[in-house]
Amino acid sequence: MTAKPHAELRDLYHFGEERQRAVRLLGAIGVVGLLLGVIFSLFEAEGLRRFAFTYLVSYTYFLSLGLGALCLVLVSHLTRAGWNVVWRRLAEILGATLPCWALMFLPILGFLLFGGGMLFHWNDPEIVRNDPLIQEKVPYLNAGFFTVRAAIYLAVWAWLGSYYYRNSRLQDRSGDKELTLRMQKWSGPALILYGFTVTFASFDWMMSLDAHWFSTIFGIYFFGGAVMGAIAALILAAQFLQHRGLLKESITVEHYHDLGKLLFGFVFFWGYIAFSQYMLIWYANIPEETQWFLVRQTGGWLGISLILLVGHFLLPFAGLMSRHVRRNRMLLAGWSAWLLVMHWLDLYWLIMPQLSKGAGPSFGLVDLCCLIGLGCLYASTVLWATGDHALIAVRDPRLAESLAFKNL
Amino acid sequence: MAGTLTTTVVDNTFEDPGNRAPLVLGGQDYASLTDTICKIPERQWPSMAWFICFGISSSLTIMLFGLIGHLIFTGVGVWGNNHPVFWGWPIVNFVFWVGIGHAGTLISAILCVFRQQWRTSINRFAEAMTIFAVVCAGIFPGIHVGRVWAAYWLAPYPSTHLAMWPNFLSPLLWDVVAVSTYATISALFWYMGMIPDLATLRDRAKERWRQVVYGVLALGWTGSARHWSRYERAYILLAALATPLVLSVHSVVSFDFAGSQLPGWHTTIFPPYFVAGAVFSGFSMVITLLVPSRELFGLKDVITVRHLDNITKFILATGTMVGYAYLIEFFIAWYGGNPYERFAFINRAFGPYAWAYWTMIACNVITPQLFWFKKFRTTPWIMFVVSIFANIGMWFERFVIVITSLSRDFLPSSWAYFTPTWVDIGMFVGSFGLFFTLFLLFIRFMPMVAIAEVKAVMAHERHKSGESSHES
Amino acid sequence: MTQAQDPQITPQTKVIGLLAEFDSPDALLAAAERVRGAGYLKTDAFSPFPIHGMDEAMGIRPTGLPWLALLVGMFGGLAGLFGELWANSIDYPIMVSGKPFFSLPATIPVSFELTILGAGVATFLGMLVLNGLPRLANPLFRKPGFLRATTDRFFLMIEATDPKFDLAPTRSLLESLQPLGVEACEADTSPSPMPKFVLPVLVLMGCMALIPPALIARARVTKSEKPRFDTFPDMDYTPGYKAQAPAPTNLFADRRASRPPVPGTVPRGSLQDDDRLYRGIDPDQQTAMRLSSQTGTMLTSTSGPAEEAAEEEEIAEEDAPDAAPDPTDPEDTADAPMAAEDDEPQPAWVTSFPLPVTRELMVRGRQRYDIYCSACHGLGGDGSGLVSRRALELEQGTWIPPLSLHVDSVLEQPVGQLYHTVTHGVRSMPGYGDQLIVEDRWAIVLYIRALQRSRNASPADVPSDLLETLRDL
Repeated sequence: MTAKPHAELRDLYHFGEERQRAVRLLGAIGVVGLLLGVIFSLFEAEGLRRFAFTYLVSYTYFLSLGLGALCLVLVSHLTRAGWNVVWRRLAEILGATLPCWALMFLPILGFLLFGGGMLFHWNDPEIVRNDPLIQEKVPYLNAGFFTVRAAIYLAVWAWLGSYYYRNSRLQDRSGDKELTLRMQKWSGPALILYGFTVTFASFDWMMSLDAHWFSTIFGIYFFGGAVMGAIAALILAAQFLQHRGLLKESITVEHYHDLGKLLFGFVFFWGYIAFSQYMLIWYANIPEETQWFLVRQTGGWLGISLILLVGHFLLPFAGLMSRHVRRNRMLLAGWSAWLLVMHWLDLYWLIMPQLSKGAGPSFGLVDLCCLIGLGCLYASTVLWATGDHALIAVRDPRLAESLAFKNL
Repeated sequence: MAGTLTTTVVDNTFEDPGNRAPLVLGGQDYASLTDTICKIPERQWPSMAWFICFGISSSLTIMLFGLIGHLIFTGVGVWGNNHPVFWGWPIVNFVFWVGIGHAGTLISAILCVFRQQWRTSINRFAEAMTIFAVVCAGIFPGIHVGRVWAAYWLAPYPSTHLAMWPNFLSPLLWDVVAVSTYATISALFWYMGMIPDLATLRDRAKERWRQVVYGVLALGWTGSARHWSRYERAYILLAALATPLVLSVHSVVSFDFAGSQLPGWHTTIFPPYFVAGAVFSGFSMVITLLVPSRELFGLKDVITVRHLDNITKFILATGTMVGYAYLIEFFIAWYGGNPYERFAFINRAFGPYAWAYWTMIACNVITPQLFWFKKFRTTPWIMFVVSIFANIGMWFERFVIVITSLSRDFLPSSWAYFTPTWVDIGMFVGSFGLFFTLFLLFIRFMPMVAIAEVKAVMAHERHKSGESSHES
Repeated sequence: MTQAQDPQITPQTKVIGLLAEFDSPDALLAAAERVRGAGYLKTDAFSPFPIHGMDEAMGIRPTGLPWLALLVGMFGGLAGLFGELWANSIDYPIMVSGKPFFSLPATIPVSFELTILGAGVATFLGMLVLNGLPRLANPLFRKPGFLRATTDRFFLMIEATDPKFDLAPTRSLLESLQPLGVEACEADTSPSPMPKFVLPVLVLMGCMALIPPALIARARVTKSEKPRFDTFPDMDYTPGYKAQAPAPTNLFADRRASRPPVPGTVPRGSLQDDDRLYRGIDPDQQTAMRLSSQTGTMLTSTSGPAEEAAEEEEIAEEDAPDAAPDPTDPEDTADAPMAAEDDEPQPAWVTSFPLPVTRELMVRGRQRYDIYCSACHGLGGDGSGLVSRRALELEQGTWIPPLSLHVDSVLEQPVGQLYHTVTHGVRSMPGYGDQLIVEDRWAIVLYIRALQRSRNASPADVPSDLLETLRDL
């Protein structure tokens, strides 16, 4: 078997030389950005604590893109989807960043193990001693178990991400249909693992920041936002590649149209889940739950909440409703970029109010440096994971179907 | 081009990646497909089996209405509802039936939105089931209001003697609006899908009464391309509208519970969890009805094992989602640290209703796991048995939610064990009678497979096979 | 269709188009393209299922149905939103579970459902109306061959109204497309007189349809003397009798539905023979006062509390004619100041607690106070409870703020009077006697005393070991 791609594929699908340079440059900028963030944070009132929180926001933001993409890969195998083969490789690459990105969790672990209650207040023995509610949760919320769990989540994701990327690349060479069947076979159990790890990771890393608060839907909330972010990122990535002359013919307006539908669907799904969570807590009005929303509904955070309501749900919902928008590249890219910003704001809104409850939101040099730093590192990771491999699953048996795909 | 389809492929459950497996088998063409489906309602007299089933189900229906009369003239004391279990079986039955009523619109709408062509063979069937299930569901809250003759107070009308409005802040009222909207849209969707097939029946009819009845119902459909164009647009629009509607209806049903403060009811995962459970029970009911029907009416070429395979995968997926929700609920009940919440869940699993809880777990989470194995996904009688278990399990899920949380609330002095009366049991059984009566009438008089849609799939498959033969 | 003016009886037919029959969707698609290419615009294709590509082949423009659905859906949603807000927030504001009158989250489910309902119904009806359905009579149905259009045959029609339509050339065009056959489609244009019974039946039905609205309209403007129809009289008129309502003579001789206690008996737990405990009044002092008031003024007995107390006293005397001597300390009576400082004569309130003052009682009092009193009087007794603050915020003008417990008039009150206030209320404050048992009422009084003292505490009140830590603060 030779590495002969599908007959109907007439595109460039490899990065050129500049990729190597970009990996190094972006990596360097990322490290410098993070270091600057640490240094700036030393001059802040909250000190390193601010850096810890903002690091968590940016980390989970980029993590969620990889997780969302991994889910798309798994679901497309599970459902034997054909239309999306042209962009599935891009999702696989985003998923393949997960092993590398697992290493970036180490600073958070460091804040936990050496910073006491800096990031997670349940890790501060002083607080736990005076808080009977947290004492109840110590069997779950303790540094040791937390570390073990985090290791499990990260290992599962890293394994899933690399497994699907590896097998898909194997098929690039062999064109073996068995690989497709094998990936399909494991996608079901993989999704179950995925579901539980993502849920508990969101409980551990975001919900437990306020160890008193709890919400059973929280995992689904995070998942909905993550998949939406990943779709937006994929749309932008595809357009970026096409702008650079890659995959110009393969990904057509029909695929963008369907990606736009998915984006619209997940905007709605996120809105549905967010509304369900808010509605039930607002309606039952039990103080142990409402306090979490109270922080986000008073003072400066009210503004952020309203921006999320309008910007994360109402506006894009109305904006993406029309097929003319979804079939227009510029508009679709615009909405994708907008929703990526909103997804970041969503995580910021989940995490940052725990830093300084009373005070409103603030965004300073520390946050900016951390976001840019981790963003550049993430971009570097993506390009590194891409390697010199094809940007499209060149010998996937369903590639022809995908290339010829047309919306009704 | 118009040649017959190759009939060598029999097992269409295996899919060679890159070549889509066929969805209609047996070398059917448009005429024979039409004939296969239309001859069922066109028979002069239905079979003996049909009459026996109809006799049983209509007797049960009469019993149901008799019991409703008994209830209205005597009062809700004939039920086992007590203090503090005010909701009892009627609400359990309501949620059970509404849940079943979700698969129809899910198959038609969501699968249509996701371009799953296999839906065409089963959507009519499932939509009919939806509407009959919603009819059964609607009865229970209707009679549960106690004073049935005042049920119109639920409607917002400028009332002269109350001088006030319904309380729109109440999830119970949202439920009324949601379920009636759902019933309306589902009925429209069902009827709209049937118009072309009713025209087929009209054009094939020999007796005058059939020509008139089907003629009126078909509204003068001719199959004009200009009509088809708007029709298809309208169909996709309705599907797109019905998709969030399906989500919303069972979410609103879940608000009935989760909006309260009762431990075991108030938890934020309820909306998506109820939707997953509803889809699970709906698909199970589809299997329960589909497996015998395709056997009895010779529809194996149209409703193939591949269709059943796909449905069982849905059952597996949604059953696992429900299992996820059970687990997360349990975990958060502990994690939340609220002693009442913890008690509610311990009480579910080990209290007086532990038998119900473990029945639910066994039927909803464990039994569907059989469908990981292809053997079980492709053997109709096994999936029939599993689907019965799933139906039982989903009824028990609602029983567990409604009864255990209510029977042991915050105040131990008010705790009470719930025991159903014969009226409770009779009404539940009677609701099955009503459901099957409507269903039997449906398969007697209406086309039970969406003929036009299956033909479109056949045309698509022929077109593709024509193309591929060009290439090779 | 233009109807022939001439009322003739002989059947008239008119060609309305040419119909070509095909056996496959692809043949129909190709034919439609050719016919359109030939310049025909008024064409139609008939098929048992929708054929992809037919819209392009025939040049059918996309329908405006989505816009209709959007419009009606938005109307439905807004109608739901404003209807709910109007009904529950403006026309009949109703406070449910402490939610604000304008509770947007609660209006979303119904608005959403009505959006979908509006859009869905509009889609369905719009599709029918735009398609000109229902149309039960169609000349096409007269063609026996056309019946297969809903089974397995595909037809192409060129209508006679097309400007390019000309019977012979159009027929030859269609025949060049290799159809199974070409037929002319004729409409029966002969006038058919309306059956005679139709008009009277329509008029009759119209009249009958007016009856229900007429009855409703009449019912809304006329007054009826008759009571409402009772669907279930036993629910409207319960068989039970009200306590003091007259019952039928055969029940009891005195026609009272309930029985008074047997003379000379006291119900269990009702022998409230200790005035000091149950009423906060010192009986010895009271007797002394009564004696003095008999000699003094007899005129001022109009004010509420005094009257009430007097009544109560009488009841107490009735209930407990032979009151046992209370175990009061002698010093209690000794340092009892006269409670009545104004013109109103006050009963002789006890000034010390008639039950042992313990730490438990204080703790209990604090707990009860926080539950029953703090909502108005505030946790510290300043009269700044949540209810009061909210009521003042609303500025409705009807709220009388509760008294601070630290004003002189309260500070001076003996504990018996405080107990009396807790039990029966004062001015606009309701009594809590029905909700709190006697011991709890005293516990509250005790806690109030503690609150009052805390405002005027001296260093001597604080234990010496705690005093040190206080200094550090």
